[in-house]
Amino acid sequence: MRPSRQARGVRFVLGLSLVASAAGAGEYHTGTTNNCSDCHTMHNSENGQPMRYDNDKNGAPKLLRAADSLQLCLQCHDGQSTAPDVVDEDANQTPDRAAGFFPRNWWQPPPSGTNPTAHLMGTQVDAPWGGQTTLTCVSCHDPHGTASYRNLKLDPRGIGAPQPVVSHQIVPRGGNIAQFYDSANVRYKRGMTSWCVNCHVGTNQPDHHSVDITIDNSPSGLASYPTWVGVTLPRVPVQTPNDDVIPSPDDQVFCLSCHKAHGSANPFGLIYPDGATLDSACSQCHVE
Amino acid sequence: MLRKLVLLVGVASLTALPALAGEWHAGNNNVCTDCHTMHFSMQHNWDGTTPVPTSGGANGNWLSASGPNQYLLKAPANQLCLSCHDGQTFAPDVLGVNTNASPTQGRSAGALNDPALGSPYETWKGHTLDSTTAPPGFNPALVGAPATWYDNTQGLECISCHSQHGSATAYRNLGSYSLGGAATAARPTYVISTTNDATKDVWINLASYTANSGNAATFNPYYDTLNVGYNRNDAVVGTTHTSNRMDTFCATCHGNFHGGAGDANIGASTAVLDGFIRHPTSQVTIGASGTQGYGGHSTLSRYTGATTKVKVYASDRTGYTDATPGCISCHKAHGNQNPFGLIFLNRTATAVTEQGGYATGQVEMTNGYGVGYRNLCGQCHSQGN
Repeated sequence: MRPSRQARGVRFVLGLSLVASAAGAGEYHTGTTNNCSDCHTMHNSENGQPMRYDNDKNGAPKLLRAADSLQLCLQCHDGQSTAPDVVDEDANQTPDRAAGFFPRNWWQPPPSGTNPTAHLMGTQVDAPWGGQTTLTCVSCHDPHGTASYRNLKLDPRGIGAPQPVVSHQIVPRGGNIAQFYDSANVRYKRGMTSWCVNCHVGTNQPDHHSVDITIDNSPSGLASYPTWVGVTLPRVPVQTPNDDVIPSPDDQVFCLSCHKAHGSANPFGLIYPDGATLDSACSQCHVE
Repeated sequence: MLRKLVLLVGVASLTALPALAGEWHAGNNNVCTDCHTMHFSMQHNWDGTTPVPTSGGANGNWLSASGPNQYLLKAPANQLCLSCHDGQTFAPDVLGVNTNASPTQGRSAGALNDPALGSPYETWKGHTLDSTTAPPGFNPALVGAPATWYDNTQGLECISCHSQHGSATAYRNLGSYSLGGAATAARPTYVISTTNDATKDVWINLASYTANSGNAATFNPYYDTLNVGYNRNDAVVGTTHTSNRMDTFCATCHGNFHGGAGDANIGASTAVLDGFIRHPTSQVTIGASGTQGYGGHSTLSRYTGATTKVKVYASDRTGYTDATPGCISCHKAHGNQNPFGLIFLNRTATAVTEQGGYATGQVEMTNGYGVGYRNLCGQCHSQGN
C-alpha cells in the first residue's frame, strides 16, 4: 500500500524563529545577549525621537518597537545577515534552512485551487484543533526564549507537550548563522512530533503517515532500510535518537521528514529532495 | 522659561523655622548674601578679611568674576548653584563625580551632567545643565501645569526643578516657582523619622537631620539612596493617574511618559488589562491579577524575592502588596553613568551604587548594556530572565 499523501489541508502557522546561540538552551533570545530594549521601549522616545523601528511616534501594545509582534520579529528575521532569515530568499545563504522559509507574501492565503506552502501568518485561519486562530511568530516561539530548541514554546496550547530534544553538530559563534541553521547541522532526537501534534491534532493517527517509527522497523515492511541507506540525493531529515550517524538503524521518520516547519516552495511545505517531485522524498524510504 | 520677577531685598533671612523644614535652603541657614549681592562689589569679606574668593564659599564670602547678573545673583544661575553643589566638601555635590565620599548606596538622585564633563557622565546619561533640548514627552497639561511653565530655550537650570529659596514642606525643595498654582500637586511631601508616615510622599529613614554641618559625614545619610523610600498615595492630577507627587513632579516636564492604566498616553483598560503602550508609572500594582490585573506581566514574588530592590511607591514595606513602579524605580532623577540615568540593579547585587549593581560574576556586554537592562527589568519581570 502506497503511503497516503497529505490529503487534508494542514494549516501551517508561522512561528517566529528566534535566534539561539548556545547549543542547549534558547541561544540569543535567552541568556545575556538579547536586550530588553531590542524589542521593547518604555516611553517610545529617545531624545524626543521615536524608538519604534517603523519610526511611528505612537506607543505600541506591550511596549513593542513595532506595531505588533510579527512586524517586530521580522525587523531582525527578514533580510538581515545578523540573524536567521526566515522569509523568502535567505540573506545568510544558508544551504538548507532546517525550518525552511515563509513566502514573501506570508500573510496572503494561497490562490484559489492551490495549497499553502507555509504556515500562514497574521491572518485568521481554521485551527487544526478546531475553531479559528491567528498565528504569529510567538504562537510557536517564545520571544523571551526557552530552554527548548529554537525557543519553541514548551506547551503552545497549554495541553502538555514534551520538549523537543535536538542537538547541533556545530556551536554558534555569532558569525556562522548559515552553518548553524543548516539542516545538515541538526540532529533531531525525540519529541518534535509530539510538539507538532500539540496543534496538528490527529496527525499521529493511523490514517496519517507513520511517525516516530524506525525506518528499519516499519509496520508490514512498508519502508526499507537498505533503500534509505542507498539514498544519493540530499536526505530528508530523520530522528536519530541513539546516535548522530545518518543513516543508521535507529533513524526514524517524523513530521519534519516530509515537511519544513516554517514552509518551503512546495505545497504544505513538503520537501522535494530533487527540487521537483514529492516522489523523490517518498522513494528515500519506500521502494514502491 | 517664564521667570517670575522676584523682588529681592537685602535683608538677611533670619526667620526662625523648624530645623526639619526644607533643610538648608529654607529655615534659618541659607542667608540672602550666600547667593545675592546688592552692588556686585565686595572689597572684603563679611568678616573683614581679604581677598574675596571668586568661587563659592561658606558664609557668603565670595563673589564670582562673572557679573553683574540678573536677580542680583553672585554668579549666573547654574554657576551659582554649582558654586556650592559641585566640588565642595561642605555641600552635597550634584554634578558628575562626587567630591565627597559616596553615601552607602550612592546619591539618591545620582548626578547631573553638563556638556563639558564627558565620560562617564555624557549628556545622554541624565539631565544636562544648560541644555536647550525640549524635554522628551513634554505635556504639562496632563498634570494641570501651565503649558508654558518651562521654556527650554532658556536652558535647563537647577531652579527648573528646585525652589532656590526652599520650601518648608517640599522634599529636596522640589517644585519650580514657575509652576504657579500647579506646584502644590507637584511638590512631594516628606518625613524624616525612623517611623514612616505613609501620608507623606517620601520617607527619609533617619532619626533626625540638622542641616548646615558642612560635613559629608553628616549630610550623606540624608541623601543616601539607602535611606529614601517612597509611599503610595493614589490620586488623579489633571487627567493623569499618580501614586506619588514625585511622579507628578516629573510629569510637569515628561507628562507623556507618566500615568497609569486608563490614561491615553499609557494605555490599558479594564477591557484590555495588558494593553499598555508605555510603561506605567503609577497605580499598577506589581503582579496584580484579577479584574484589576494590570500588573499581570510582572511578578510580585520576583520583586519581593530580590535582596536588592529598586525603589517603588509602596506603603506596605513588608510584603509590598501595594507596590507600583514609578519614574524613580528606573531612573536617577539627576542621572548617573548609565544611558538615561537608568538604574541597572540586579536583584542579588552585593553592592549598590548610583549606577545600580551587578550580581556576582556578571559581566556587562562589550557592545551595550544588555546585562544592565536585564537586571533592571528583571526586578519585576521574569521574561527573559
